[in-house]
Amino acid sequence: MTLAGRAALLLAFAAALYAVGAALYSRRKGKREYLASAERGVWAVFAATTTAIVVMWALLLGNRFDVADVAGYSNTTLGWNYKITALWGSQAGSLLLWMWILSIVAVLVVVTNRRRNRQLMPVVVAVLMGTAVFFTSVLSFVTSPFATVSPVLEDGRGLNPLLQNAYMQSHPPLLYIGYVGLSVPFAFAIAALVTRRLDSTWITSVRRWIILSWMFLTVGIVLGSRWAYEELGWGGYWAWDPVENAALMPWLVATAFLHSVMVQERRGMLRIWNMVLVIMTFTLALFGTFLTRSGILSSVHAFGESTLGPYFLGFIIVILVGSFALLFSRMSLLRSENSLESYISREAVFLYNNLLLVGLAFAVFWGTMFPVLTEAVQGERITVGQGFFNQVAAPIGIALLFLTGVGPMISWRKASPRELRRRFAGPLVVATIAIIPAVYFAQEGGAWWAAAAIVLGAFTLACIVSEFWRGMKVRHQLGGVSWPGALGQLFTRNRRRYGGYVVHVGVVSIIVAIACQGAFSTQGDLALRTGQTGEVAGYQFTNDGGTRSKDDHKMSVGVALGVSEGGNRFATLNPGVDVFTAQQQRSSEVAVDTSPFRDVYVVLVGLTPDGLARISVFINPMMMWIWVGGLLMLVGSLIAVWPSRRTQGVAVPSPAGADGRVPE
Amino acid sequence: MAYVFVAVISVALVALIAWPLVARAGADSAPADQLDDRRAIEEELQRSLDAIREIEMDHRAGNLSDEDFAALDRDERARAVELMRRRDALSAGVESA
Amino acid sequence: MKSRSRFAIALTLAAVLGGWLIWTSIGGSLETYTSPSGLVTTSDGTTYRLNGTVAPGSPEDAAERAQTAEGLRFVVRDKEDASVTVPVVYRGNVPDAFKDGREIVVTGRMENGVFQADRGTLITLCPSKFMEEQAKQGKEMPADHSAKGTAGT
Repeated sequence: MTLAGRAALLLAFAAALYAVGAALYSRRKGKREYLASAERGVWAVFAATTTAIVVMWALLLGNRFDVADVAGYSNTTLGWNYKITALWGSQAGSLLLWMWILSIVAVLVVVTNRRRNRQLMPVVVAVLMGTAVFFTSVLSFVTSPFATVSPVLEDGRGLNPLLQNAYMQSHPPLLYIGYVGLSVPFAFAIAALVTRRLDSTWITSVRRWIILSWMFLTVGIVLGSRWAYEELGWGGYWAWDPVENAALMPWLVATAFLHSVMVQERRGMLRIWNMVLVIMTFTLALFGTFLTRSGILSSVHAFGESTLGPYFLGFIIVILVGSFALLFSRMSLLRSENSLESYISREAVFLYNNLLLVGLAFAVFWGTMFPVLTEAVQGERITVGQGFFNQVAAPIGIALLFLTGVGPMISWRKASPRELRRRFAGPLVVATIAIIPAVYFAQEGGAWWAAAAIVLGAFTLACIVSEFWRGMKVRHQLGGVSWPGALGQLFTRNRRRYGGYVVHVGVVSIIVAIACQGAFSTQGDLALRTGQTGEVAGYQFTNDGGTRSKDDHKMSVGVALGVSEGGNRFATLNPGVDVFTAQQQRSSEVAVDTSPFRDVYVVLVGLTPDGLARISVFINPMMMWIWVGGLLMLVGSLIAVWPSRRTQGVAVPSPAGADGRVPE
Repeated sequence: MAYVFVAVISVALVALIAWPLVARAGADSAPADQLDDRRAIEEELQRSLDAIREIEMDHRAGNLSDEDFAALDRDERARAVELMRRRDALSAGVESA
Repeated sequence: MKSRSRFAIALTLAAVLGGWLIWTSIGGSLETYTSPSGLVTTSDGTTYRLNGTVAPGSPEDAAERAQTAEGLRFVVRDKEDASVTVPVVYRGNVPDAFKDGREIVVTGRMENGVFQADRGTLITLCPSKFMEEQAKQGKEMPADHSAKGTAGT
């Protein structure tokens, strides 16, 4: 069966190669049929890749331990659901997943553009299939998921227990969907440049793809953080680790791109900038995949010996050089239609938003790659600690929080001071009120960033609420609908805008929560005998008794902890530790009590035979709001991307001289 | 057995890909392009109409001052009219072809 | 054109502010990576990120010891030259993946021949299982980088 798998990948490679050639050839006069053939080639790549991945799953489910990636990540006792997801545990397996998602995305692009964008499609297909050529060639010639191993052991090594949970099952595919999705705007951008069709058609064709990819990236990143929080047991959820940064960078640039396309659509500005952004977004997505899969961050030397590193880097360089050369050659066609009339206008706010997001992405890139650079130049690896990232991210996050509130309320072109005074009066009042508790908390903890976040968060929330309120008022008065009906209409008649506002509420929630947790969290260690009580940060913990158990797979210890506040017991937490015998792997089971105000997070560090439990307690304020914020961002983007029916018309004088009504 | 499987799939894929070349429907690309352009204009027109409506809503909601509203409304309506003119010209062109 | 200059001013200002922010943030947070071999020669109190593998014989109850006042004591071996070792004292959270033979990174400074680690800075780098097999066969493969635990993707 491994032969079938290898052959399927080779077929995919060949089909992708053909599709690139046929698509480009179809641009010649009279060779239109080659585009149809190339699009069928896209289907062929999908069929072949699906065959390969199905074969791989069959090998995993069939316990074929002669295959290296099955032996390395699965064993006979692994549940079938984990056997399936073990596919993306290995390097080759995760690349196969990436390729499969790419083949699905390419088919979707072909299907949704059957009757549109016919001028652009040849190059779009060529770019998407060019990427497929790269991945299938790596999978066929460099690192194959079907590689065999000898001697063949009786049982595989199994999947790391830390990966056996729903988060790690879903996090890679979701993230990859986000990465792959970003290839579509890139493909259309290249197509627009090549064909010189540089009006906003290419942008509107990819708007949904941009939002959807962004949505998947967001969910992927949030789930990754949630996994870290629940599984790794250090009380936090983000450590500015290189693999975390690898996913964050494309997300930041994609967010910037999301906003700046609106400026191009509305005012015809920032066209060159948008091209640069879309190229960078896709490049960073590839780079993110590469960063996680090559050895470059351990050491430059490991990178050289890594099988994948040079190929990925080469591909990225080809894309960057090719795209920018193309962009440069079309520069004259990308002049702005309009100009920046005021520093206080929506265009300007979007520009600041872009500068902040791209600036942060740049800083993160710089901090992540710093050790690589210093090693290459000086021979010494010098890292920047988490402090660097936090110090850079904090003011940028605060500034973005402010712009999130202000942006939607400032009009295009130019906002007059009188308008501003009127619009922002309410939110400013709210912000001023919020200063009181904010300063109070900051005094206690000494963290002024958190105070700023609270004040600006209140301000921005007030801005968003007032946007909803005004919109509802207009609809209520105009159409005589009820208030709930007016709210519903806002969502049905203008999905992008109000869906975006929901996303913004999520952003406020996340930034404020991050700031509060960062500034006000406390930690303490306790060693408690059975019956003993200890206190951390105003919470009392009582050891109600430890437990020990053992079975074929693992040995477990746990402790029941009564948690009280001010003498009132409100929860029992059961943190524990499992030690898996097969892999000699230790896994902490964190116990968390969540309330809207704080998480009480307890890790069992150890349980001695005579019942002494050592626990580590973290009190994390506002943690829940990070996950709530993530959920709101998901819901908001779904609303924004949902297709809407064409609604009623507007009275516009028609050149045909009719009565002026446009049909409904 | 695996070889047979592979051979069958290869043949099927080659047939799939080669079909349009062999069948040669030979469609002229010009009408396809025109339909493309017309659809693009229709979509842009719809966006323009949506924008006009949104500008009006913004003005009523107090997001836009009277002067700004007048300017934006005028510009957007002019754009919509121009798009309608281009769409009608294109339709006429298609019909006469 | 006036608007060209507005753009240029905004961009320049952003670049200047950004550069200043990055410059000041880098200041306090640079740490040099080193291996036990690198530490043999220095004992000047500089903060280092020590990278190496855990030598056999580390305590079974590592996590619990790291909570006590005496702290967790273990020995770090140089990745390239197993004969070069450094004793480490550490207090704080111990990742689940910590055990003999694991590659770790910990931040701290040398004092009297012992590496005094900063609280909570212990990270394990977890090589994928496939790599351990390859390493046994004498081949080199890249390590999957992870923070304070294991990432497997």
